[in-house]
Amino acid sequence: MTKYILLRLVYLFLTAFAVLTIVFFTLRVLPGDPVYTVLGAEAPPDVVAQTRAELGFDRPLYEQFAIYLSGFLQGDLGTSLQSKRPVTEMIGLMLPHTILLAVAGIVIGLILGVPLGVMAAVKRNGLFDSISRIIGVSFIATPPFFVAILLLLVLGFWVGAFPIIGAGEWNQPVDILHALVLPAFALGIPKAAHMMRFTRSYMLEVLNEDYIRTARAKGLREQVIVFTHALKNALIPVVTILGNQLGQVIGGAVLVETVFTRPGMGRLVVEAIAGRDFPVVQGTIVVFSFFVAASNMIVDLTYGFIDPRVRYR
Amino acid sequence: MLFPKRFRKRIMARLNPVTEEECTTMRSESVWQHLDVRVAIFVLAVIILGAIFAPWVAPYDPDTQNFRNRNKPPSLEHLCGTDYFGRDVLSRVIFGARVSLAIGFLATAFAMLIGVTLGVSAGYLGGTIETIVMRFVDVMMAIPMVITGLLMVAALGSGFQTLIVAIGISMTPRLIRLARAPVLVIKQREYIQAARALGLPKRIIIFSHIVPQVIPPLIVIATLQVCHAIVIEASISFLGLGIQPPMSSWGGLLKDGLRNLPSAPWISLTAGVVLTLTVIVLNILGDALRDSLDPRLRGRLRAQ
Repeated sequence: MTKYILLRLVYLFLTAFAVLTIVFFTLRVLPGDPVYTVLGAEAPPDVVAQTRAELGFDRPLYEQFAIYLSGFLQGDLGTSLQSKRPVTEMIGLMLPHTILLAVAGIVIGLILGVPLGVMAAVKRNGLFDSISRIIGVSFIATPPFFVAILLLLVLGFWVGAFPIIGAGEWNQPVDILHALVLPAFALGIPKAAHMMRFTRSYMLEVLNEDYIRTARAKGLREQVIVFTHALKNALIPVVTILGNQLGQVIGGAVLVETVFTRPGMGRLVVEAIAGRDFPVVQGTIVVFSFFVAASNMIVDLTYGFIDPRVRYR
Repeated sequence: MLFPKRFRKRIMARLNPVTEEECTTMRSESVWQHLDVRVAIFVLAVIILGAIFAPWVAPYDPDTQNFRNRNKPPSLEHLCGTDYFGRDVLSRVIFGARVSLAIGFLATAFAMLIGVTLGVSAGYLGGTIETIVMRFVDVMMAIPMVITGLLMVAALGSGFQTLIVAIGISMTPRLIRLARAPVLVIKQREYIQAARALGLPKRIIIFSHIVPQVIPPLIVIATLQVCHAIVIEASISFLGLGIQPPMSSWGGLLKDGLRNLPSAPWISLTAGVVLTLTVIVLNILGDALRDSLDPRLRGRLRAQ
């Protein structure tokens, strides 16, 4: 088990390194010159050359990469070209908001989706199943940012029950939670539709198994059969899929943040890409991919808790 | 016989309540007869035809500004209202459909082309090539698709063609994986071994013996991928890095609408509803296509 975790950790860092390499060289192939980002388009040539030398953009690519990499290994992601602040500091300020949003979205997706899926599976082909199928098909396909716009319009502007902008200050937890409600539901509702469909189909599969028949024949109560016998096994694939979709959730969070003008990684990466702020783009994307890879790892590890048959080698 | 017939029936129903359903599934009933599939085909046809014949279908020119008619709510004259510059929202959505659908389908085609080539080659050739390609795929899968799309747009610049390539590239890793998996099975079959024994070049084995086997199931996946492509295009344009104004796209309209959300909600609503509707019907059609090709999967969900 320890060996397995260590192996996965090594793999995690290799992924981060590989992403860094790909992003670094993709950005360097760009036609745009980041020096003009710093100086503006009308800078005189000698100033441009000087700044380029200061920033190290005149060195050969492999040298730039080596310099960046040695910084990366020491936990330094460089300095933003636009704000002149360290990238780690900028990410440190933004990352908690995005993680909070993504986690809240996933939790809402699970809390809404799994029970509804179980109900739909138990009462299959009933009225509830049909209604939930229609709702599921509609929301599964709705991009989270459109759900966000709808929530913002109805509950933010028309009802006025929730803030329409920002994420609140960290020292005021009530504000944070209040501002989190709409974005989290925007992210969570489409996810819940996904979870509902997956839970339903895997529950149906499990409910068909012989051991469920045995449990029924033993005369166990239906609740015990559904929740202790069936759901436990149906959850395994659901958790896998949830882990695999974390990338989508983070991608969705980027857009939902934009709708609610929340601070977060989304705004950071979009502004950095628009402004050709290389260090920030590199830093944010590496952090994104690190989280996706890390969550996949955690999902793999949670198997052991959900399914005792799984052993790690 | 242990129980009388009427008891047995009741007991069987209690023990195995799914039998009846299994019977309905087994009945050879075409998925194309389902109402939702028919409605989906109709809706998609309307959207695609509307996009193709946009200049004739759209009630107004999508770019004509009319400052006397700014942010007007929906009326008989302007069915979906007007935007900040007094342009007809419905016309802009119809013209936007051209951009969004074209990018959706072309980006998927691009991703299929590269994904199938790389995936099938990796699967058939194995060895170092496979390792390199698949590790690369693993790494790319760790970056959210929207972010890859944004990065590629940043690298290539924003515009119609570059968006197709950017979105296509961001979709490719998944297609490589999906294309490689069946090849591992197919390459063990006798006819492939026969082709190898005949001394056919690898290129011919790959393209005339393996690719035709891999393509049909991938077509189904491609239908579902078109949804992803359309949503990613909308996302990138929504973030302001995709299709640039005055050209209209659904993502761009959602962005314009967000800016004027309290005063002119109809801009975002129209674009968002049409976008969502398109994605829903493509999803329904993709599921139906898959069911009709592989009845065993009926009712079950795709893994991704």
